Amino acid sequence: MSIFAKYFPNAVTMKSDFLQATWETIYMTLITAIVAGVIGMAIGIGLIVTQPGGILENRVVYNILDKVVNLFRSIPFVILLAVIAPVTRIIVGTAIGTTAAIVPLVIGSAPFYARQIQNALTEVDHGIIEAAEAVGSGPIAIIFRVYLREGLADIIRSSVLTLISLIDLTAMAGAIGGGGLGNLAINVGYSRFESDVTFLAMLIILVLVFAIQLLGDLWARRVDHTA
Amino acid sequence: MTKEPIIQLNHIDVTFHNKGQTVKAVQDVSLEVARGDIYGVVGYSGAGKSTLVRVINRLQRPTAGTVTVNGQNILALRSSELRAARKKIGMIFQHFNLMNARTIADNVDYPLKGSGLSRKERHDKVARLLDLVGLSEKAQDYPAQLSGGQKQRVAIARALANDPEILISDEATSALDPKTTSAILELLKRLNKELGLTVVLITHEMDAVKEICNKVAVMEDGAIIERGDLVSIFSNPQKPLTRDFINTATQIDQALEKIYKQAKGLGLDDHHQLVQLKYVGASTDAPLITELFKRYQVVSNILYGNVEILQDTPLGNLVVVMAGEPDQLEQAWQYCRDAGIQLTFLKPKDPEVA
Repeated sequence: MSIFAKYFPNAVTMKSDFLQATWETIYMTLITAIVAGVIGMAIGIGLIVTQPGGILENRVVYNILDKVVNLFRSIPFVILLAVIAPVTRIIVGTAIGTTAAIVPLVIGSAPFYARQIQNALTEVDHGIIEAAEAVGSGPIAIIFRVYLREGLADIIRSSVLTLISLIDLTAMAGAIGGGGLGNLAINVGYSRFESDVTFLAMLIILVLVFAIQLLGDLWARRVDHTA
Repeated sequence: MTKEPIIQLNHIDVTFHNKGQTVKAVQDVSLEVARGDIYGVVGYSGAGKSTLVRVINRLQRPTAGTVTVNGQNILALRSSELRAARKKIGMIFQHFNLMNARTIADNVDYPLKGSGLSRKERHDKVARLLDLVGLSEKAQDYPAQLSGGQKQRVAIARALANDPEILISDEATSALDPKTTSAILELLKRLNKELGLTVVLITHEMDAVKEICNKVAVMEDGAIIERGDLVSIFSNPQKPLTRDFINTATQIDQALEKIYKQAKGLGLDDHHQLVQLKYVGASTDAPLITELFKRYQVVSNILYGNVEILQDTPLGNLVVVMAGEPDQLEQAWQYCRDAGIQLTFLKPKDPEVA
């Protein structure tokens, strides 16, 4: 412990702060991942099935989804945090705090995930979809038994990418009192010139990111039977 | 012999609109396929063959015309009824279209989901189907581990899962080597015999048609330009495109070219005549060449010979140089014509002039 104390003189006294910040980061990431995951997945599938030549081709729906995704992906996250505050207050009752940060996080990451899902499902060979149609599969069966199944390896890879970028976004949640490791690194470490705190916060984030990447890659490889 | 039609396409038009351009992929095509037929649709790529057969299970909705399959008006079906109808129309594709994330057994099982069969019944049926196509030992493999021919067998098993009466084969052998192609065609023929499966076979290879079809339609620019039973199309093609396809299959064009090249060395004059003999069926039984010599002292030198057995009917093609006295030759030719043999006198072009 003495070596740790030597190189991290301030951080060593802040064990409970780090535990709490790590938990806040994980909490924000997990809840956002679940909510944005469902929304993004739905929009991504919506884009795929309604696109020209899709199994439920619908120009109007496709264009609306496409524009909405582009719109929200264009807004810088830090600005989105502020702009979305009134909406957050309606949904969670307050615009400040960890839970309040989840609303802008969802809005910031769901469109990104939707595009990722769309790209992953575009890779599913159209011939396979046609073969499923030819044996009498309906749209629901094709979505769940063909698109999501055949695209699974790519969906996992896209999800890893989205999760990592989500951790990145949570670091900005400090701006609205969301807490987390990013907040600890900037508002404590950077502001008080306690650079060891900043550095440790970064290390913990790196460990989280590497763990997600590693597990995701292993899982994707397991389900990938294309080669 | 009147067999009831299982597929009736009437005055089908398919028009695509793409970026302001209008493409008439299929124009006023009517096609009738009888139960138990193996009906070949031949044509070069872009002729509209694939579009036409996709109309049968409404993967492609025609712009105009009517489609009747098994007495059912396919175009009037609601989507749930259409899905039920599609289960009875199997389809296989050039690129197999197997699901890569599923095992072979799971691929074959896919169409059975929601069929009301129990897990055990489905398992047994998949095993039977894999046995039928000779791939039982590959059940737990993934498509990526199989060869092209094996993948197509899996696709056939999948297409047969719901006991269809019709199988549509869309260029199913075009991505396979000749040996594998023959094996797949053999399998289709066997299924036709054993299960009474009606097959619609689309291809650009007349060889495939020759091997298993009993009926052929030739397509060009979205229209059927010639159709009929295999033997009559092969023995007496009317359209240049049909002749092209057949000549590619019998390779007579290449043979003639070679013969013409060495025509000078043949020493052709009024005692020597280059003749192509074509015969269908029984006339092959008579020992023609011997007969011509015995009766008219005409010597026939065979330069090229090819006999196809189509639907158990032999179809012969000989290119010979006949040598003899001019009047004897005349009589020999008359003898041939009386025997039902088609004669064509070939005049090699002078290479120097050409």
